[in-house]
Amino acid sequence: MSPLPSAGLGLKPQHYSEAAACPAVGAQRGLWFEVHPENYMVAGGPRLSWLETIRAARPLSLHGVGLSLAGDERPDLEHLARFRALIDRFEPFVVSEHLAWSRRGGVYHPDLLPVPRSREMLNLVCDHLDEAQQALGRRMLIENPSAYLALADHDWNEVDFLVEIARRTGCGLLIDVNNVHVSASNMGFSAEAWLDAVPGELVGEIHLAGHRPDPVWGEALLIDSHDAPVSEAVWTLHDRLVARIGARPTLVECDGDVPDFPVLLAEQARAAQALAAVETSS
Amino acid sequence: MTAFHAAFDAALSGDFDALWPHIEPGERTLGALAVYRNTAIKGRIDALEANYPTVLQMVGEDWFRAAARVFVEEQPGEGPVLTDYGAGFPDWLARFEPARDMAYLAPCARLDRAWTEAHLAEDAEPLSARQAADLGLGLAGLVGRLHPSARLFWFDWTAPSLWLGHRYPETDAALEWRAAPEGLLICRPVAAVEAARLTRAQWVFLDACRQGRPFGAAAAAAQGAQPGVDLPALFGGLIALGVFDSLSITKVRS
Repeated sequence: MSPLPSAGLGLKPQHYSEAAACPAVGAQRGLWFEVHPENYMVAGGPRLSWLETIRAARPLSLHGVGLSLAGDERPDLEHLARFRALIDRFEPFVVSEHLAWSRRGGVYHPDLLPVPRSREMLNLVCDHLDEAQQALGRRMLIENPSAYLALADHDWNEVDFLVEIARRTGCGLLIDVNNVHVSASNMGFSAEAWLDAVPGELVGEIHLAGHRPDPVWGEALLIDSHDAPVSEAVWTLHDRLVARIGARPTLVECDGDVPDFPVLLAEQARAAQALAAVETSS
Repeated sequence: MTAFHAAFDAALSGDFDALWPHIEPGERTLGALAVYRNTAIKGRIDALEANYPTVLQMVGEDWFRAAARVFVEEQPGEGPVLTDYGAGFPDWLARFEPARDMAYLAPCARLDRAWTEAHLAEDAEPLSARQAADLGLGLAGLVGRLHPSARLFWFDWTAPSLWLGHRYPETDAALEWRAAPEGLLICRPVAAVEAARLTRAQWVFLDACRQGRPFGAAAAAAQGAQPGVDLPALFGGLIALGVFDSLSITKVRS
């Protein structure tokens, strides 16, 4: 039996052969990989065959970026069908998306756009999520996005809004600790209090990534850039979260200025150690 | 639709007026809006850069990203599958005034696009020499469909050489731009995308197959384009490139 997923890595094409060959020993025993399904919605070719090879050796997570669940248009049925085909083929252990939107009026924005946490938006998101979970045949996890802009008309705080969505749709939560840190810094709230409020039983996965200060605003405006190592502040928040709720599959994401595979593996090992520490103590 | 989404959508295009009632303005508001605008634009430009590596290499990063910035405003893209993004870039480049002095850019962009299409095309078993031999004399009457990844080109200028020199430097193709007809096949018979020069007779043969004409008619067309061409050698060479789809031939035969 393969070991349970512990710490994972976002899979990049330049690392396919190293990822496939990585032995399941030490911190890499529970290594798993995550991909954006949008990058594999292709007819054929080496991308899909690499993913098959890696999936044969490791657990896989599909983490969508294009469903636009918080949009004001219904989910794209063709996109859902292609997502479903990947789920059927690769049998991911977890399927996730974002509390964000990206599509409107025939234009797709490669970004995770925000909404106010209002009753109107709650209804929209829950309707879309119901439809998506039905079409995909899976319970999904929903991720908290990074916040940059102070929106008016919030009726809920972010954790309560996510919990209400989970209560109404049966979805779980993917807690992106870097996004909590970035949002807390940009919006001026306590990341610790935010994390302490999350009901542990809803959390199915955790994300860690790097961020950068905005080139103009500096530390006053942090950007969830995914192009830097995980910061010490985020590692500390991760320790705090898993100490309270227990170990969860934890992903290290890096999408820009991607370092060599061993550098990513070192971050993955650090996350695996943090998870092992709470498992031993519990 | 909701008023918030409409207002945010407009703000992404630079029109902030409708968004003010939906936000709590502060000193960093414009900076925060810029993060969203820049992320979306950067995502598209990055995708374009990944999809057109030869064009990028020819013009350099600064020129490429400046041109891409104009393109993404005009053709922002419809879907989240970013490998599809920028299919209209080669035609757009052909009309782009600042590229007027670089007539080779648009044809090389077309070849980059074909490379991506071949890379992601449906898998299919290419027709082997053995299978072709087994078909024997009946071959002439069969329709040989091209492999799903096969893309054929014929240019009046040396775009194939220029593109090969950048994308497949091991071919030692001459990096020169002159009026000389050249053909190229881009194909992914198995895992790797391959590029091969085509003679006029080979191109005519494959073009006939692409149009659904049987091998016999394709051979006659090749003979017309280059009288006296060695047809068995031509056919054998094309089979070695993995350009035919084995399945379609079997289907027609049965």
